[in-house]
Amino acid sequence: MAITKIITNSIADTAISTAKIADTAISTAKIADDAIDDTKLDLTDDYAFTGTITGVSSGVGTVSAWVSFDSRNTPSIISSGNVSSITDISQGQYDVNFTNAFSNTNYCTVTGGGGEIRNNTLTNVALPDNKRTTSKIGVDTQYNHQNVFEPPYVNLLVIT
Amino acid sequence: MDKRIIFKNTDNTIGIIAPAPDALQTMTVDEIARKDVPTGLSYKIVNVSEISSDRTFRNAWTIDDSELTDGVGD
Repeated sequence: MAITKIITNSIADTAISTAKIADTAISTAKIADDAIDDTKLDLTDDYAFTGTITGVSSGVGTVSAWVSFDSRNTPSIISSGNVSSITDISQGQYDVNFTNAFSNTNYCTVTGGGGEIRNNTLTNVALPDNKRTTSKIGVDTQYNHQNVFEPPYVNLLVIT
Repeated sequence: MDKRIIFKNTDNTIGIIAPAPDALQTMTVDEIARKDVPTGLSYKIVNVSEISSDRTFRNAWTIDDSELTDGVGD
């Protein structure tokens, strides 16, 4: 006699394994929304996103390069993104070298420095006009706008 | 293994490149040297311990050309 009806509570949980369920037998419509929570998802893997992000305004700009470096003693980079290196040129003068060059020099820069006060003035991080290129940008550190100073933190953001 | 890249500018001043730890995840020190040393200038890769931390006379530092034997900037 053929079995014509199986009700869910007649099937023991241990009798069902993933291997026994065909991929084609599962559709989104058959999965209740409240049946899925974070504990049932493997969030450790990387997944490719192929959709379109909506609701984000265009023209906002993004941080395309950034660096924080210590200019004292033997200058060194603390942390960075899209920056391959800094070049110590002389006292208080550096180049920040970009890993990936920009298509033009119309990028926006934001600078800051500190970690130490000199002569009761804040650190001035200057970007000379003649040292801005697509592949690097010159950074001068001073206090009182003209005196060479090498602070513990020199920070630069490049926004495009 | 903290490295620095030394080169001499055409005006005889010394440039010292500090590679970014982030960049070293995908590039070697030599690749960074070839990219960031000015085109045609010779360079030397040294341990950071070989660079003076006293910068009082930083602008007077010099190096003999014969020391710059590790490559040339692209």
